[in-house]
Amino acid sequence: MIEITGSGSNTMSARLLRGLTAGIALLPLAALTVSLPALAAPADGGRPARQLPSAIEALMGETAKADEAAHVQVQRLAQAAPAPAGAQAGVKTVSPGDSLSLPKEVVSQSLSTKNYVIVTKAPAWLELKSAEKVGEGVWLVSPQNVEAARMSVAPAAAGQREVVFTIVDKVGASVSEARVKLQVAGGAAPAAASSAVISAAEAKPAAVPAPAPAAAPAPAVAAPAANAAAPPAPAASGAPAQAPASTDASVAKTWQDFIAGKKPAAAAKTSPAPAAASGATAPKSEAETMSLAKHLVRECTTCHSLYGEDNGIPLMIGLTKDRFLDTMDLYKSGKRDNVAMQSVAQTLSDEETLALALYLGRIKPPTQVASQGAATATGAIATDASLGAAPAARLEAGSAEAKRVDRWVDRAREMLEIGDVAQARLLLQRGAKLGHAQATLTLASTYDPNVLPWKPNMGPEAEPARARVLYKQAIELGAGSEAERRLAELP
Amino acid sequence: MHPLSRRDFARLVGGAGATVAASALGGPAALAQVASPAVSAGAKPKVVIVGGGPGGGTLAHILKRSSPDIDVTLIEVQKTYTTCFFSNLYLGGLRTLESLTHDYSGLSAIGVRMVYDRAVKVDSAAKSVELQSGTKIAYDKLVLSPGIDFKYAAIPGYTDAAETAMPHAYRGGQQSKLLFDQLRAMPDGGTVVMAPPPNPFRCPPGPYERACMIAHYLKTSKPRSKLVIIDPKKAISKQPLFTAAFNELYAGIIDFHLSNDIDDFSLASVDPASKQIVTKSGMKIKADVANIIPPQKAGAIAEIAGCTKGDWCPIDPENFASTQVADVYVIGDASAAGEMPKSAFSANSQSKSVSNDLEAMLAGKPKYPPRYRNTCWSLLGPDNSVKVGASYKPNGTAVAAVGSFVSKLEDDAKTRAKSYKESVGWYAGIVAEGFNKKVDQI
Repeated sequence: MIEITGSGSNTMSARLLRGLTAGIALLPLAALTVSLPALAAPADGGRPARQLPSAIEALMGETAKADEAAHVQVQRLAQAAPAPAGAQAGVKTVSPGDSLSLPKEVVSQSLSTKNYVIVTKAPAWLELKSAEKVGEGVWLVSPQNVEAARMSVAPAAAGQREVVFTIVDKVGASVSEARVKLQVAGGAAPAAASSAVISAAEAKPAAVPAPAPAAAPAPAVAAPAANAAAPPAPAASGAPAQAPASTDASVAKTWQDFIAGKKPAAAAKTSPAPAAASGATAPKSEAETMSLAKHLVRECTTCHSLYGEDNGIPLMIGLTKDRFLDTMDLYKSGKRDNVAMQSVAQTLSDEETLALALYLGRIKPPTQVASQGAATATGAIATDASLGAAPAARLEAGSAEAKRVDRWVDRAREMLEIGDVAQARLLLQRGAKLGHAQATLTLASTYDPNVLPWKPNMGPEAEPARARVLYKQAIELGAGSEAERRLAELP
Repeated sequence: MHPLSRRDFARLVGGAGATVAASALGGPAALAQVASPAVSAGAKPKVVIVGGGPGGGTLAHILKRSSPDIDVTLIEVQKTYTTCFFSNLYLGGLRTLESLTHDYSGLSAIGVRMVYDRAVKVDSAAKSVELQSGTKIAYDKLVLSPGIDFKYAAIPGYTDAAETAMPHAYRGGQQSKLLFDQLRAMPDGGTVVMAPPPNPFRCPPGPYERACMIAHYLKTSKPRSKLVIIDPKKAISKQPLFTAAFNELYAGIIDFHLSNDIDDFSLASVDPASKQIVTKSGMKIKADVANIIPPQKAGAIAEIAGCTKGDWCPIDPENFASTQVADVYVIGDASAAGEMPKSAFSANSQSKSVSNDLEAMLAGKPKYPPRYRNTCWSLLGPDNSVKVGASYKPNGTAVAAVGSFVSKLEDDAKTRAKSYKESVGWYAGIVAEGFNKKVDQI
């Protein structure tokens, strides 16, 4: 096990990218876990794979920025799986002037997973089109561009080089890689078919999250999610200008800036060519991502309230980043049938959707804000933590407040009917915290394996333990025989 | 930071005069100057908005909230605003007029300067707006969101008095109440006549939702009555959905006449005294209640300001800046927004593009490509709502739809009921945003 300890300017993403830039094989990067106090309890039903996004979300929060000296512990469980021999690829013969597409396995995998491709060890005579140059010999290809991306061989090229295509997911964890040996043979016809082989170095998430040091402030670290978070250039200009060639150091700086939430490249501000600067597709800083999200969210707020009031239109705040992304995917693919939301989801790029997910995830419903004061966790984690907390007192049935919660429960049941368990839980948690028996009972049922409807892509896993605690609470609140029966039937 | 897009840069260089242009081209040091362009030195940039509806109100709200250093003035005649959207539900008895009426206290509270007066003149050279009271208000950027006015003269016989005798109810508040009261006063067995306007007009599905709501009232309270619709158009918004509703829900009540190649149901004349209505096709009807909706044009101040070309105001699809007058934007119903319909939703959406433009120009914030959206819900009967909408983008010369949607004819009752709930949520949302209220207060 390798431990990387860093702080502030020496971040994981910078290291990751430096590693790639230097041509160090980082694969298989079997697992990356970030240990954070806020993440002691996984946000999303205990699925370890969901930790990193949440980690980044937390890290991007205000508290993360506040403590630059925070201790960061990154575990790389790489030894578990030995590095693959790098897929014994054949040699592809190319000629100067050729324009090649990316290996088809890489293209199809990037398309199907919407993951980015990082091209490393690209020789100087190879220029990638529809890709972003992020360092010498390092190019970044977004899933949107992966089909259009071309590798063009410089006119005066010579030599042989093995180019590595690494597919990374949104948190920078490697998914798989492919290697292609390119041999420039002057005048020779290119080989008939690409010999790229996907090595399929399947990244297995860590099974056990590292124990969190108690009460340590949230540290500043992140994987290169900046790519995923990078919105399209806001400029109204046409083709994106090519990013200037950057050195290893300048690349690292960009990534660090993203993490630190600083505005990158003061140069952009003082550049004598503002149009070109604004057209560049450089990764965005956190501030820029949030700025984009704040712009985009205005399209949502014509209907959706940002202030935690369910006005008959579902709340979109307080969702974890992944839940938001999943929800938007369901609309995008038409699996959820609200035509208005389908249209919204379909007109947002992945980058824009992610920016919104990050932004909205930070807005806490007011009841959570009120009850937690200066809580440092994100809304999602706070919600999760609130689960076990017993309500202050039983809510008087028939009171104005109880009637209000009655409406939440009705609304939540509608959400459950369409499989929107996450949103329903948010509402029900608020009701349960106020001591509303039906809200608590219904909330318990969302964790109950006997009740929870199984719907592909929609239903989170059942959690009998949580259901048990909540059923007991509901009984105390007077939910009656139904709660008792379900409690008895729990496995 | 993206202080300027190439387009903005060009516009500023082109529009702001030689001094700025020269210094801007001079190099990096000049950029800051361009990013916060020449407003009176030392003063806060002044944005003046005319019209406190869903366009102007939303703009005042989000601009002031996001950029407190911009001096935002909202000029509005009335101290409260009664929405025209959802007024059909009031006619149908499903909503009170009070629930559609909102004040500007939320906007004042965040520092928007409210001026309750009528804008009567715009001096685009001196950059000031003159009010009926004689006061002049200077602006750096002016946004007109005046809604619609009516072309009364286009209907022979339609006089000032006709507006009371045959209310159009196409402006919220008093007009809605007139029509509501006349419908309630009508004896059972009476005839209601509705004459929708020709294109383009505010809220394309509006008259037909209204037909459903009036018919719903008649069906439940005055079942022997009739609603005759005489329409100058050959086709209408959500036509299959509305005609199905007319035939299935209101058979025997609604008598719908769309124009065709042979019969023209445009108004030939109206007589406010006798409520006699004649169509160009020769149809004569004696109405007990007449809802005559005249042809429309941009609100008067837009024409006075020189922003109109024909009846409406041409705009730059990128940011809704007037193509006719510098430093003026036109949003909402008054603008010629290409494929974007005239609706509260559209006005709200357009105001966000303008806000972003102003924030970029006056507060040095990033400029983003505009995103426009509209959805119109129409209530066919209680818990029976359908919707139509689209996303829009500038296509160089106009705002064009990029992917539209409409409710399906075969949607089940549950879907329709959900759509109604959604529309109620939308109403709360858009009003909350336009007037800075909390949604649970609406």
